[in-house]
Amino acid sequence: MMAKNIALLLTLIALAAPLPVRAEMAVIVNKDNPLKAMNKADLSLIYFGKKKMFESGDVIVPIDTAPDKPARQDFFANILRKDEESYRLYWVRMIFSGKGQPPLAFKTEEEAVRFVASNKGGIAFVDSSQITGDVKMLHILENE
Amino acid sequence: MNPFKTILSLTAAVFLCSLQNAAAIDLSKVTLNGYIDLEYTVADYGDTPNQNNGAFHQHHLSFLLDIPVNEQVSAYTHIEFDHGANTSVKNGGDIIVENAFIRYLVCDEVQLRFGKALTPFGYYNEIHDSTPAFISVFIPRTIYRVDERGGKPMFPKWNTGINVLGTVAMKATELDYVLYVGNGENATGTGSPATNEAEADDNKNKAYGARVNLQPNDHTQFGLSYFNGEKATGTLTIVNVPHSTMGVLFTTNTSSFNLLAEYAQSDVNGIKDVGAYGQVTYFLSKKFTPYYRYEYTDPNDHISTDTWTEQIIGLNIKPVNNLIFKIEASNNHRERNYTPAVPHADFNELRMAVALYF
Repeated sequence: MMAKNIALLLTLIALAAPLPVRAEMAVIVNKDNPLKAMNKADLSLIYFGKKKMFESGDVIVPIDTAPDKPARQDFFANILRKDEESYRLYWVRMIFSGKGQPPLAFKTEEEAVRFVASNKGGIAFVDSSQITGDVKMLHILENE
Repeated sequence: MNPFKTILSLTAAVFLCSLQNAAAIDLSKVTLNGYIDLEYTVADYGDTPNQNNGAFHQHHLSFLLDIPVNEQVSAYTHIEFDHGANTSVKNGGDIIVENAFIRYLVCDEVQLRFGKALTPFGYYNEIHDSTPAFISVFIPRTIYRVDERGGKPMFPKWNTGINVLGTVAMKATELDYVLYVGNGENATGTGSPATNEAEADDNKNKAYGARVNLQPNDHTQFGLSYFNGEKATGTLTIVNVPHSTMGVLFTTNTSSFNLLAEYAQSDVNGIKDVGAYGQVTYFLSKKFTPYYRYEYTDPNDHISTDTWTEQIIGLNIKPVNNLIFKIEASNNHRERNYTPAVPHADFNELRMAVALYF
């Protein structure tokens, strides 16, 4: 009986405990950016320094952020399809061949959101729970 | 005037000007990158002039400045202090402007570069001396330093002129291109043509070329490079002769391996150099990356049995980010008609290097 009570208690505790909230990775741009959606290939090009302008003509300022956050891991796995080390080595090569600089890196997602809110060309990937009314979330499309 | 003094004076002048025009550039947007390396080589040949057998060699100290002037225009320069530069002594190294160009972003498909740039040829030339950007101690001498293999350079290291470059994306396929035109390797008058590596020419024949890289997916890349120009030859009387080079590249990645292979053929006035290499890199862990490379060079198709092959097996160790230790063993074999300019027969080298980049 004692064992059954303990089991019941543990079950109740497990059910009552809040499940870890796993928000989705979201790509955000400035509210004034007319863009509503972007496909994965274009996003990848931006973060590899090969797409530098939005269709509106604004120069893109990509933001890298929060190395330990799930949103970044999602972005690397599903959009860039590179691991951290390969991505870093790619940019070493780009820097030393004069092809540009890697995305600006912020330590927190809050900083990234603030930057995008105040820069028309800004684009960043953050946890969707971090999105404020000052930025716009893009729909991410599969490649055609 | 001593070059160091000249550079110091120029630096001071730029600094003073920047104080007076502080609003001209947002200094927080200027990026400084660079690297320092130290090499040590031991070989089974004796001491000879200009060889580094058994000597430490502070090879590169480089500073790269990326200066955005506005959203679409920036300046980029790479200044290198080469071979422990001390220009006041014999063989005391050099101070080299590796890159100095203006970048103008017109659109994704068209960017312009004006100035001096490392010639966009193959996989390695644009990172020619940037030791942190490649895995081995040196870039492949075949193709990129054929002059150290008894041949003539396949293309000038630099091109001073205009580059047009960009990326064209079609679904998951990317195509990167560079077209360039600049000073040729031709010259008039007398003197050594070695002083003219596309820095100045006789204005009659410009050098031009192109490189196209096609990436059909995330893992594979095909490349094609072409250079065409006239090359000044001779020592007392300079003669300009036709020079063209074609190169192909293939690279593919898995999560564990990278395979990189290149082939190039150069034709200087009917004499052909051929170079090729294959390189395999194994991503053992984040800290340890072993590699193997096989290089083949035929420096002159008019001479039989003059080929030079090199096998390199090496290891990269990255104990922390931005610091790389390299160690490699190299076996060099030359056929009996190797060029007399090369002082040794077959030999082996053990090379070590440490490179820090920022």
